[in-house]
Amino acid sequence: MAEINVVVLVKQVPDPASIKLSEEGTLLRDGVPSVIDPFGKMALRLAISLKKKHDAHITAITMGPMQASDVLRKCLEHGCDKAVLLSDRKFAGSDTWATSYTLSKCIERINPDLIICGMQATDGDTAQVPAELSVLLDYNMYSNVTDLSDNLRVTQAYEREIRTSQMKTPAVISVSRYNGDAPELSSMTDFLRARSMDIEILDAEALGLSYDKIGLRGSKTKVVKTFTPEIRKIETVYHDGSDPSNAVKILKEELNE
Amino acid sequence: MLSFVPDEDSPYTIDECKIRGHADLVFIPENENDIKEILLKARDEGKTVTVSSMRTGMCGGGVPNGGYLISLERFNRFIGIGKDDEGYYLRLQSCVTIENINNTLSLRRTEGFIDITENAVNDFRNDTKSFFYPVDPTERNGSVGGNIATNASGPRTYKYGPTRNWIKFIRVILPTGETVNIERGKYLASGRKFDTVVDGIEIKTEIPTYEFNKTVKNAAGIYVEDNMDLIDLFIGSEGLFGIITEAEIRLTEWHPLISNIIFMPGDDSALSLINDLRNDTYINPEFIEYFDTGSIELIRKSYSNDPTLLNPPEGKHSAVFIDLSLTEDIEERYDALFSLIRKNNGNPDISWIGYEDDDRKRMFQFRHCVPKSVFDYVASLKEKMPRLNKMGTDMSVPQNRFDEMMIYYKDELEKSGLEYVIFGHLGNCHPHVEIILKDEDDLEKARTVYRLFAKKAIELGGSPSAEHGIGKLKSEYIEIMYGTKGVEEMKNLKLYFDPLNMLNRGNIIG
Amino acid sequence: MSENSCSSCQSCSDGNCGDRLPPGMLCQYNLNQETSDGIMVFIELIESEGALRLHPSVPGILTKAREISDGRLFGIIFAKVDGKDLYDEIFSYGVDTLYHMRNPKHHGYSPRSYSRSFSEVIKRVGPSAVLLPATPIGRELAPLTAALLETGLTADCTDLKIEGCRLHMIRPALGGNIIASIVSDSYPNMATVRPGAFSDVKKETGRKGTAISHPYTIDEETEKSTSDDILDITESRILISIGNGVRKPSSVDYAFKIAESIGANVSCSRTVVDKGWLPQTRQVGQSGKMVSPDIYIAFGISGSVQHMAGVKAKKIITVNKDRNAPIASLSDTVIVGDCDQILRKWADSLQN
Repeated sequence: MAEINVVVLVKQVPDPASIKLSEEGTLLRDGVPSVIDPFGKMALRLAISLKKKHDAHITAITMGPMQASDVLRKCLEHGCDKAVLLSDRKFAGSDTWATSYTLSKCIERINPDLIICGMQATDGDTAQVPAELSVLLDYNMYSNVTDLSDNLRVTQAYEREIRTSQMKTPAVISVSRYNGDAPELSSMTDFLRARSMDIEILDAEALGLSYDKIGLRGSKTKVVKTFTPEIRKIETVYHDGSDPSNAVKILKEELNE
Repeated sequence: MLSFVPDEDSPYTIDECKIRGHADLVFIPENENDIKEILLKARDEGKTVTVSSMRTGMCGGGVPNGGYLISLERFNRFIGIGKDDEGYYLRLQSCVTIENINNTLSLRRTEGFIDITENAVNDFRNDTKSFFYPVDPTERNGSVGGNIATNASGPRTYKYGPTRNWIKFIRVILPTGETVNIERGKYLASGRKFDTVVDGIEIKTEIPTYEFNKTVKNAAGIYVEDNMDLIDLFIGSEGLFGIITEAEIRLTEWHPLISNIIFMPGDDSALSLINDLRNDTYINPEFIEYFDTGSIELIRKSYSNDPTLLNPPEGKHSAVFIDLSLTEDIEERYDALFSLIRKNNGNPDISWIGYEDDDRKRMFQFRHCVPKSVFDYVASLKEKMPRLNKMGTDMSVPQNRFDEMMIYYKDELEKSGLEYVIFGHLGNCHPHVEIILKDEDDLEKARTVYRLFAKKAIELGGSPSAEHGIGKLKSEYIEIMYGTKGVEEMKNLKLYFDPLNMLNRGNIIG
Repeated sequence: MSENSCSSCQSCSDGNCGDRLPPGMLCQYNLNQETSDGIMVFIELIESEGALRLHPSVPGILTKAREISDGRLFGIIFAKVDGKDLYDEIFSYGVDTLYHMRNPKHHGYSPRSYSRSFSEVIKRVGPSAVLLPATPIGRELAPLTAALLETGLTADCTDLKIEGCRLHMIRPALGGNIIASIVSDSYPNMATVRPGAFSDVKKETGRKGTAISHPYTIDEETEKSTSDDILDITESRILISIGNGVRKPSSVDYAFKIAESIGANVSCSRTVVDKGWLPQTRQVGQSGKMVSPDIYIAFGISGSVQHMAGVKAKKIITVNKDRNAPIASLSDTVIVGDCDQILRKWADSLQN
């Protein structure tokens, strides 16, 4: 089969497993390590799984500060062929529109058959970038993807239905879940190989982007204020449930109140 | 204070080895006064008192055999941080779990901590370096108090030693109800005799005269040595002398690590790789863990029930698990490691690495899968055969006798026809042999080979219990190791602290 | 604010549309209590057991839209002729004008066809704001449509407010620990709204509106197979939710048994889905669903930031081995005990 040119998009986020709340309900980010966002990780594995049956060339792309190259290193470990970091202070404050625009300008040059991304990143949770990209690049959009078979049949899980269809390229697919058999951990040799590979770093100028279309200036939505949510003050009542029968009694009483 | 009569299948009267005990009443004390109250009540009523915390023990140390059970679950608070010449230390109550300790340290969640030395909390928070508590019993849900009472160890003992090395201070309620604060270095024996006063309480007693085997990893019997520190008498004594309510544990600087699971084509090649690693001075792993081919198959089976686990690569493999510090020279050390792997017919491509928290957690979960699937299997059989409990060895031998011991294990097991898996801490020459019982006949056979193994380990200069302790399961080996005289001496010491033999009766000395 | 020209009237004056244009919609306005005129809502439909009904989140969104705007309220549905059966209900929630997008070959949601037709209607009508439910369909359709319109979009709003003549779209960020108030400089202002965020519903039976039938083109072919697990956890008043602290798979069966007897449904946390014990349609939280039941009974759920971002219950009852689990302080009642044993005991007690 002909080579498939694939782009996989990942994002670096604070490890969602390590984020904790203080007793006042504020976010504790001290010492929280950065990782590939969980959906991006699934996207990466799905992309790598294509290598088994197809002659896939995979470019991993992320947008973020220079430290975000860590997640690209991880992508290279897992078997991506190339890595590109879009990094520029002028990208700061981008909303999903400006992000999609910036990414689209980089992806245009690669002209891939397939763009694979996570459904959403755990920091923003908007799930908007994949769809906006598909419109900007005029690609087909497949969201909520849970599987992509060897012959490129795509499975999508919506709220109440599962769909399968033959994927029409060029396409953007956003992965909501992937349990395929691509290895979850890389090997020692992968680790060493990735360390020796280059990561291409591009800024706004290299991409030829005009400044009024990127970052805060290029964003269509703006955060005007943030506040911490009012925490419902609760007088928690504790019961000892060491005795299961007593616990069941309490549960039934609570339900009847 | 909460107290209740436990159900027959109460989680309070069982531990990880699935020995089921029973108790008249379970108490959940909120503070030290509550504990004293229970001790006095028990004394007046002639009851025994067993102490438990997270019940992750492996030989019934916290399982009551009648009487009262104290669960220390409410003693789960951090107290503060101090700093001295040896670095930071953490003060906490005894039921804080090891997992909670290291999560709290890595996220620097020090809200509410008090300064034990001036400005220590702030210094710790703002320190450019990160710190952790390095003793890592594979069961991270165990409590620090339980770890101290059993001198717990684990894979990292290879590099950092057992719990004992990290304990600076303990606060103990003696069986008589009095409280003592024991600081390391403050109360020393003279030869084999203590004659000292701790917080106004006189401690004047002979201590046993036997030699405690320190040449191997060893958790069998009460630790003694000439001129010993009083704190060391309590550490690893399985609660015979008192109830630990607070402790100070030392921390060490954290450095980034990369975990590696190397799949090898067979048991012999893995064992030979481990031998090479032990003799190599450059690669310098933090620990060396071994899984035989049977263990890997067991993990494969667990994966089919729980797909969140990692699935071993296809084909027949044994495995070696090592952590390496992720330093500048990592590439050179990998080169050295690769040549050892290839020399032993392995392939560095068939391996897993992890350096992100999540990946490493999953690799440790993979490791933990072997003992866990044996526990689960035993628990499922126990419904049909209540007499059953887990039959796993926990024996260490000196390095130069290790091959001999491994051959002995395999020969005896093959002869008996029992099914088994071997895995564990081979850095410390301390494998676990888990016998997979199928019926009551197997139980008898297993008990026989187990006794043979223990005797052989002692004969080779090793310990029949390197890590799990003696508890209520293995007291028969104490007499083999220390003779009648040794046991008598231990009993006398026990009665010195606990004249009514009330506290944690049945542990170590029966 | 930006000056927007009125492109919509031009597209109409060439006579292509053939539909009645509602008055007062030829310009785009700032959404303001005095001058606001126009919010358009995508009305998601559910076809179950052959019958068509509104997605449960729709009435709340329509009610909210009515509340923040004195202007006209537009709705859009994609359906065959049987969509007519829903007109009265839709009007009763305050919709003035309903676009009924029809195609004889209509076979449910299709991202490309929907987004193209939807954006054309929006261009023609020119509402100040467009709202969609943040369902899997809405979360895909909204960015596709917004990109076609080259307008901004705010996802998963939990509240909408008018402040200083502007629409403030309010959404949780960073897993619900910060609430961000967002405005858009582009028109229409677009947002998806979390199902369950607006639970107040105002219904005026017998209220009249105008329905406009409009053809749309279908250019995609997909095969669909409906999942058999279609009970929606967002619709349950009581949820029994299973987390990682539940150790035995049999406990899930007990939970279903209990749920059946007390009229509840069973939901879960992420790990339970990962273990394969329950499908993702039952997952609550940031990567699952937002639920707002009266009672949320959490068995063995630690209460991670990600999970709690999806729970908005009147009352939370927690059963957990660890009294210090993060969920405890967010719960009304905490029972400290063994989840598996308690579920078993509860299920057993139902038989007697």
